[in-house]
Amino acid sequence: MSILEVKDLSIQFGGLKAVDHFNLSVDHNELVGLIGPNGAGKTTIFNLLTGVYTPTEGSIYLNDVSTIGKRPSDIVLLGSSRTFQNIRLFKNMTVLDNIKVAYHNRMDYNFVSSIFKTKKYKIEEARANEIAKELLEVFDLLEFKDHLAKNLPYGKQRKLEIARALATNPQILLLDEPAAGMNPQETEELMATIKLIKNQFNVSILLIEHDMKLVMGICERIVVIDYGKIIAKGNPKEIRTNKDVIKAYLGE
Amino acid sequence: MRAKIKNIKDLLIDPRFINYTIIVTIFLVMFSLIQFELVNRYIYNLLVMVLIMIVMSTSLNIATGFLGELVLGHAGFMGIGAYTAAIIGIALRPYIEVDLLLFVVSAIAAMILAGTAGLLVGTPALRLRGDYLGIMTLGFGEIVRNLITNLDTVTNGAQGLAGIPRIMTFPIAFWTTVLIVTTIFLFMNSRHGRAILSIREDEIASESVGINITRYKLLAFVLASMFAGVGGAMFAFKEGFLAPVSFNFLKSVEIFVIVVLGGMGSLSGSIVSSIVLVFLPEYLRDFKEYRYLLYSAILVITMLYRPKGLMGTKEFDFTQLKNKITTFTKRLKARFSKGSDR
Repeated sequence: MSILEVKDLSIQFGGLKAVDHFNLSVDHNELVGLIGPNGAGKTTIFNLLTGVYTPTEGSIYLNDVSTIGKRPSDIVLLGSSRTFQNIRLFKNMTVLDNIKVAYHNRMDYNFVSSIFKTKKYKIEEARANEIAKELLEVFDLLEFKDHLAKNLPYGKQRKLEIARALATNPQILLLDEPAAGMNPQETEELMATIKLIKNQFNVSILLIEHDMKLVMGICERIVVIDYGKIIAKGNPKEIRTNKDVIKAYLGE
Repeated sequence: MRAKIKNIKDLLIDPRFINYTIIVTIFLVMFSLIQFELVNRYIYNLLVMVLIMIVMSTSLNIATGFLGELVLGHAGFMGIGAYTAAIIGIALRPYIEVDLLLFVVSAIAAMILAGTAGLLVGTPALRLRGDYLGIMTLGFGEIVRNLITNLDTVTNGAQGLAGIPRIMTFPIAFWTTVLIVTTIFLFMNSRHGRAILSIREDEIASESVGINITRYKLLAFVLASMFAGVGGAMFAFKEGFLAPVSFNFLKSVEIFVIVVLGGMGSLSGSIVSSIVLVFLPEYLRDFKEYRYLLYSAILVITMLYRPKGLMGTKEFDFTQLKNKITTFTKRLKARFSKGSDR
C-alpha cells in the first residue's frame, strides 16, 4: 500500500515551470531518494507536498486523502512531517520543549485544564515528557534536554530537527538535505541514524540529498529530476550508470 | 511528578506552598502598612497604579513577548475596558451594595468587550507582520480614543466621565493582579503556551509540526486584549474619573516600554519594571523638567547594557533561590579550598 501518491504534479511561477508533471509513489516503510542538480526543483516539490505552495496542476494523496488546498499544519495531521535545508529549530526553547511542541496535537487538554492544573493536564504533560525523553534517548540527545536548542553543535541540531519531525508521529518523513554542512564522520553517523529511524519508527522516508555516498548508500530507490522533470528512476546501481543523469550532472 | 505531602517538612519544601506563602506575606505586609497608616494616600495611590501597570504589561507581554508581535495599541483595549466598566459600574451602583461584586461584574463585562475588540482587530491585523502590525494596532488605539471622544451620549466625550464609584481598594487590586498573572503564567506553561512560543521562534517550523498558527496568534492577541480590559476596569474604579486622553498613544508606548525594559517574554521582568517605571518618574519630581530627560537616559542605558531587558526571557523563582544560594556557596568554597591547596 502506498503512503504517498503524487500524480502529474506541476507548479508554475510566472513563465517558469518549476515542477513539470512529477509522479511519485512511496510505499510503506520505503526509503526513496530525490536528487538532481542545483535548482532542479527538489525543495519546491517538498514545499508542494507539505502545503507551503499550492500546485497549479496535479494531485497529491497522503493515505488516500487529497492534501491539495490544505494548510501545512493540517497536512501534518494526515501523517507527513519534514525537516528543512537550513535548520529551523525553536532556538530559544529547550531541547525537550522543542520535541514537546511537536507533540502538541497528540496531547488532549483544553485551555481551562491548563489554568486549573487538572488531573488530565498532569497526566498528559507527564506522558508527553516521557515520550519526548524516549525520543531524545534514541537520538543520544537526552543529556542535553535542558539546553537551549541554539547552544547545540551543528550535527546535534540536525538530529534534534529529525527527532522533532518524528514527534508528530508521521507515516512519511521528508528530509531536506540532512547531510548539508556535515563532515564525513557526521554524515556516516547520520546514515546510521536514518536507517535506525526507518526500522524503529516504521516510517517511509523521502530524502533530498547532494551527498552521493549517503544517497547511494541507503536509498532503496532513487528519483532524479532536472528542470522540474523526472529524468531517471531506479535503484542506486541503475542511476549510477544512467546516461541522462551523468549528462545532467557533468554536461556533455 | 511531585511527591505526596506527608508531614510538615515536606510541606515546607513544596514549591507551591513556598509561592503561596510569599504572595500572602507580601500582601499582609503591604496591607498592614496601609491599615496602620504607615503609608500615606499618595504612596497608596501609586501602589494601586503599580498593580494596574503590572496587569497591563503582563497582558501585553503575551502578544509582544511570547508571541513576538509588535503591538502599539494596548491603551485602546484598556480604554474600552475602562469605559465599559465605568458605565456599568455607575449604572449598577444603586443595585449592588458590595464593592467586590460590583467590580467583578463590571470587570467581566470589560473583559468580554475588550476581548471582542481584540478578536475583531486581530483577525485582519495578524495577517501583517512586524512594523506593519505595529502601525495597524497604533491606528486602532487612535480610533478607540476618537470614538470615546465623539460618542458624547455614552462617554460624555472630551469632558470626561465622572462619578464612577471609587471601589478599587488595595486588596481587590492585589488579588485581581495575582489572579491574572497566575493565569498567564500557567497558560504559558501549557501546550497552548508552548505553541505560542514556537510561533515567535519560527513560524514556518511551527506550522510544519502541526501548530495552527493563525488560531494561536489570534488566541494570544485576544487574551492580551481581554486582560487589558480588566486593567482598564481597575483604572476606572481607582480614578473615579475617565478622560479619553488617558488612553492615547503615549499610554500604549508607556506599557510597551515596561515590557521591553522588563524583558520580552518574562512575566517577573514586567512586574519588576512596572514597579520601577511607576515609582521612578514620581521620585524624579525633584529634578522638575529634567526628570523626563533622566527617565529617557535610564531607558537608553538599560538598552545599551541589557538589550534583552532586565530579566531577558527568564523568570524569577523563589523556590529556586535556595538552590542557587547553595550552589553559589559551594562554588565559593571549592574555589577557596583550591586556592589553599596551592
